[in-house]
Amino acid sequence: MNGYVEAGYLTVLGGLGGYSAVLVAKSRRIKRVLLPVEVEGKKDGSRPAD
Amino acid sequence: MDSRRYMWTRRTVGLVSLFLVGAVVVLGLWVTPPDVVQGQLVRLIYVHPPVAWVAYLAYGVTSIASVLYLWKRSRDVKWDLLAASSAEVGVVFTGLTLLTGSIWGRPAWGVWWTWDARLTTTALLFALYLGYLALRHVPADTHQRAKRSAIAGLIAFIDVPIVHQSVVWWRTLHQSATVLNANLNPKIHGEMAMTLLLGFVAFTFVYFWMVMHRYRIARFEQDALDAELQMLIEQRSSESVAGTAYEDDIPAPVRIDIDQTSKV
Repeated sequence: MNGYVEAGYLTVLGGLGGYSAVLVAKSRRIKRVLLPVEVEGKKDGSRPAD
Repeated sequence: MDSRRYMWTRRTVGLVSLFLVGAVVVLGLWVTPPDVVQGQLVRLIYVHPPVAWVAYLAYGVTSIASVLYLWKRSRDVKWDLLAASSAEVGVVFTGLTLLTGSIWGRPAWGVWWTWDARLTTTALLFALYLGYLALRHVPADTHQRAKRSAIAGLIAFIDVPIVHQSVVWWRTLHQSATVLNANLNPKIHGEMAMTLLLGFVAFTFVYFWMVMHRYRIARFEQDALDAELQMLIEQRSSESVAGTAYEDDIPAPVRIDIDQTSKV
């Protein structure tokens, strides 16, 4: 092969791999930020302790 | 949004995508034979047309979701978020189409770029949807942004059939369609045809996985925005009830003396 074919495949795999990595990183970051915080002393369905 | 079923679906689609793309790479680079005219260069056919197809698919989904948002009976912010997610993935695939096309063009035509009808209309498509994504960053409330984006997405989609038909309508350097040509007579056969078909399937799976991820991020961002707005509204409401808000904004009451008004 003459280098162009390899370059083409690397471009596609690199481009898709890079974008996928960005999506996964963003997804994990946003999930970490928006995870609900457990309130101390609160049981499920009960009011939080004063 | 983040149910176990959705998570498992996303993971399954991701794993299938990885497997199929791997198969395309192996078949494309080592198993399929070279072409009688283009030699080894033909191996780019297993990645270049599939990424172009996925770009069309992505913009088609954007258009359908845009219509669903604009239609009052089905109006829901989820359609706007789906449209935007699909458009973003479409822009990635269009960029890859242009790059792989350029890489193929250099040895085939002797140039990295030419103002051929197919290349020019594809570059225009890329610019149109980049514009769509930029429009979404113009400050506006959720509904305004969604409405503007939906209209922009539908206008931009007009270029998709023009891109596909450009090789028929104009005299171009770019070859005509290999499979979906006017005679519906595919110019590719055997293991080359099977690998090309596998390429279409593989990159379509990759598209679905990416859109699922991107849509999930968009939903989280929208939920956070809605929660922030709700919190601000509640804060403002509680401040006005307590009488602590706007003390500096309320103008001092105007005192009217009865003597002054009697002169009028």
